[in-house]
Amino acid sequence: MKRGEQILGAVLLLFAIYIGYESTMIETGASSSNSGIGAGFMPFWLSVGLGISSMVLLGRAFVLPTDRFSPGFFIDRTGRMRVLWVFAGYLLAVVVMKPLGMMISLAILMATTMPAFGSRNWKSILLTTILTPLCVYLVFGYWLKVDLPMGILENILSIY
Amino acid sequence: METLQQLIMGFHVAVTPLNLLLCFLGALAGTIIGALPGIGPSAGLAILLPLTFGMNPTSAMIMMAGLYCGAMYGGTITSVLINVPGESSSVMTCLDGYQMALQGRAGKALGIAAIGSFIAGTASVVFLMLLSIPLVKFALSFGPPEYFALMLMGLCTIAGLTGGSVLKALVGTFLGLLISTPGMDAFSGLPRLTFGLTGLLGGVNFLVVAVGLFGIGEVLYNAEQIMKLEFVTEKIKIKEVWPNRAEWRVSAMPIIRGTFIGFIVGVLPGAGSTIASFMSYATEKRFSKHPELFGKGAIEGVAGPEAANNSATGGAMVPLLTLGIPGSGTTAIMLGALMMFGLQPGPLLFQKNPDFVWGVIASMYIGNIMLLIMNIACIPLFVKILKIPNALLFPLIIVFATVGVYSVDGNIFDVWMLYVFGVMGYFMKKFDMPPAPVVLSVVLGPMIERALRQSLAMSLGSYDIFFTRPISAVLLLVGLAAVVWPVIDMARQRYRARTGKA
Repeated sequence: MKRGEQILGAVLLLFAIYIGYESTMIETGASSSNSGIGAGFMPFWLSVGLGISSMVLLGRAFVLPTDRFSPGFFIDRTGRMRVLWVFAGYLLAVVVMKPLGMMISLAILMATTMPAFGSRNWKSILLTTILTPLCVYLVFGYWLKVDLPMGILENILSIY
Repeated sequence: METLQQLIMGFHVAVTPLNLLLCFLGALAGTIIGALPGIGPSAGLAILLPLTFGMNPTSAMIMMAGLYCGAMYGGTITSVLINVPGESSSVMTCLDGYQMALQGRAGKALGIAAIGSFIAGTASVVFLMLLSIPLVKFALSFGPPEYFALMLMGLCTIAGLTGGSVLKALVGTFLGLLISTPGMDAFSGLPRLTFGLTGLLGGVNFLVVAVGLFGIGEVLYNAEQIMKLEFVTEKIKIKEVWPNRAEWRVSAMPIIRGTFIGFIVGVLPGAGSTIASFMSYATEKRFSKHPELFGKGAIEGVAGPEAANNSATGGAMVPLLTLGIPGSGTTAIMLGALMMFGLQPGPLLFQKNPDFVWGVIASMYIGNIMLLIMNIACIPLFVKILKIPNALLFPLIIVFATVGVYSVDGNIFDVWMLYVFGVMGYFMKKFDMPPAPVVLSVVLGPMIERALRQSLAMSLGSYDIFFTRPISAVLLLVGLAAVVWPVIDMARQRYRARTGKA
């Protein structure tokens, strides 16, 4: 975890430098005058604060001995695989949401994440994968009239 | 007298069939959320918030207040029956509650927790009422510099008192404030930090941040280590829940002390119900004639902390309703929700929307009665609900969060942002960075900037305005002390440990 904290400090520091630079590029500036402060003032000084605190975080991660940090980032290999699987399944669902529609996206989400959370019964996975988007469609689309992106199902499950 | 009249008006608002139903649903959902390990009240509130958007603000807030109080009650169930706290403020209940369950006294533990919670929750609403009116009168004299100092103090105290590393909480505060800056600048009308993304022109929606950090982050974290819940097999009978005379005698004072501790700690920004329950447990152990029984099934070890964490909810509503300053992640979500409904919490809320404020306060009385009945009569039902498998529950939370966030603005960009903040929430959890300062900063960020700019416009750019006005100077000093004190305290402890070893 020592390495993880070093990476965290470095990433935050780089982010602070980037935001600080972007803030100075804002038209009304990052400085204050008698007439008040510009639009870039807050983000600039916040990035300075973030930069200083992330530098302390980074310094601490280098100076402190390894035994002051927890041993590893992930608890075990299986845990790491489960987290990465959920990350990937969720990302896939977000990526396909616009082209394929919310219903298919949610079905993918359920089908990919249920096994990661420990379900091994394919019948229940299949049933939930079908029922969940259907319930979402009925409650949010049909009943609450939320304009859900329907994607390729636009013509079949048209709400309006 | 004025307070009583206002309260009667509040009851007129709260006892409509719709508001009673919403209060009940909020309390029920809160109890279930509080009982489910891995989902705290902040996550629950954030995930369920989109459901309230079609309602009027009073009904929505009544539901949210019911959910907040219910989560405090619900956390006890898993603490007692499976030794896993439903949420952080129930950690202390595990120590004696679970031991009581192992001794076949689970019903008594749940009963005293529900009764203690009811007494403390109701008393804290009385204190909230009594404290609000004078505080509102005082706060009406506040100008932009005082508000700036007050909000800064709120952020500093939450960073200093939230527990864990102050440095990481400060990093979270800066990050949260930065997240609140993209969008159209309110003063010049110019876009800033939008990076060419049109989705950022309207700024980052606080709901996306709250649901991402608290909800999705929590679910992703739970994916790594799947918890298997093993229940104490004792069958709980309702008639065994009510404490006997001897149990009342030992529990009465802990409940009273817990009520006061909880309320005072709840009012302080950042401290919250978890610290309140820790303080109450330590106090009871010190006051007890048999401290050796603590941790072995002492009923006062359940009564005190449970009273304290429920009393803290009333305390936390004081700064939220009177000053418009939330003191915790949960109240920050409530503040954000109120602003989405077009209400501006603060002293003027009591003058402009008395029906709203007093309706919510009255509903908290009603909610506590509902929760008492629910938590005594429906414990077997909650135990059954707790047996929902994680493989179904957690994916459904992601689905509900995604659809909920999308339905606010009908924008897929928000779903992308939810993913980003969910991943960020996971990493924050791994690095022990508390999410509450980030969410609080996102909510307070635009208000702080407005107060700063108004103050500097008043003083023609001079920062002296914050130090020459006594209230603002005192508030800034308190904020500074809240950040510096834990650092000094830690250095002192290290020095003592080093000299002790030497």
